[in-house]
Amino acid sequence: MKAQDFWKFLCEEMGYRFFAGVPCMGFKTLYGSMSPRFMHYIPAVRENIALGLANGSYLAGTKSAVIMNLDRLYNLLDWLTSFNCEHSVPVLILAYRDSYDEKMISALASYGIPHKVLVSVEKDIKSLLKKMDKLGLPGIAIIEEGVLE
Amino acid sequence: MKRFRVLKHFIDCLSDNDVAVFSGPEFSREAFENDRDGNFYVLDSPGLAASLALGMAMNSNKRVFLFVGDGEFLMEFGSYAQIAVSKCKNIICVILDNDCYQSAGGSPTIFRSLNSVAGVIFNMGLISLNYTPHFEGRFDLSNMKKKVGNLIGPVAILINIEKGDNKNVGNVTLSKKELSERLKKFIENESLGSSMFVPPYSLDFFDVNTDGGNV
Repeated sequence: MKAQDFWKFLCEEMGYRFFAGVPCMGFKTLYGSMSPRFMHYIPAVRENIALGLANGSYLAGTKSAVIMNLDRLYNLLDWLTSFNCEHSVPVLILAYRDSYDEKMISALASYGIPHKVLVSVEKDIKSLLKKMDKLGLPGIAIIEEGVLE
Repeated sequence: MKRFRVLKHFIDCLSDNDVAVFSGPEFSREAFENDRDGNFYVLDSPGLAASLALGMAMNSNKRVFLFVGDGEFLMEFGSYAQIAVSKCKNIICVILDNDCYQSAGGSPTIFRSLNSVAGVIFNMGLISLNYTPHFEGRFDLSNMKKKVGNLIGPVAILINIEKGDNKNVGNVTLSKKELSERLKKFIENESLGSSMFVPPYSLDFFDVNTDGGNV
């Protein structure tokens, strides 16, 4: 899927407006195709601050997502479990996976946090968001190399 | 003045449509004694409150007051830099400095050992105001209400407080989900209006930080 089409899908069709994140090499194309016309992006100094911004945005009524590298997700597990899961704040995390370390995936499974490795992007995002809404939990969309171009 | 009294007086000074975020279990319990619909308590995610409050402020026209201790302020320093550069006009940080981690038995923080706390805050881009004198001696509610009512962010208010917490306060009786739902309803309630007379943030900010092409 083209990165521009991905933003159109996520912002226009799914209603996401607020994004915060820490740049990651794998998302170069994604960052290059952002448009301030229909989305707000805040460059955060750390991934956990990006999560805080997204949480605040959600509580203020704006759908929000975090953009980051999957390896850095360890920094967020504390707040994801102690805040997002308990307060029922279902923010979306777009995480780029550049290594095939299965530990993170099994960690997410053991915490019961919904996650999906995107293959058919639109279909997989829709099913992930449905699950997040149903459970009131945050969700991780794992994006591997070549999925968004 | 003790933290409990300062929190009570400050909450009395807030407008009906202001949001107040309290960080930490002790802060939350003491603030919960003066609970209002606009109050939100971050009970056990240390460091989260600052970025959470900024996210709320950026997406709402209501003023957001963040109440943190000196220990928590030091914990997520980057959040305050983020608040400063956001130029968000509706976020006000209130830092209650008792020079210790009260919840951890009063072990000291490095807050007052910094060369100049006000200087650090100022150099990040936040306006620093010292409200300590207003909370010493007899508290003038009407004068303080006026001062707080006119506040425009991003600003950091420093208040030196006495050590010690109030042991006679109860727990926050609302569940975390109830707290989130209540806050969402409060922010969405347009009939409450806003104390802001200017847009919460400059739209230019976003243009500067997105370098991509058009979709």
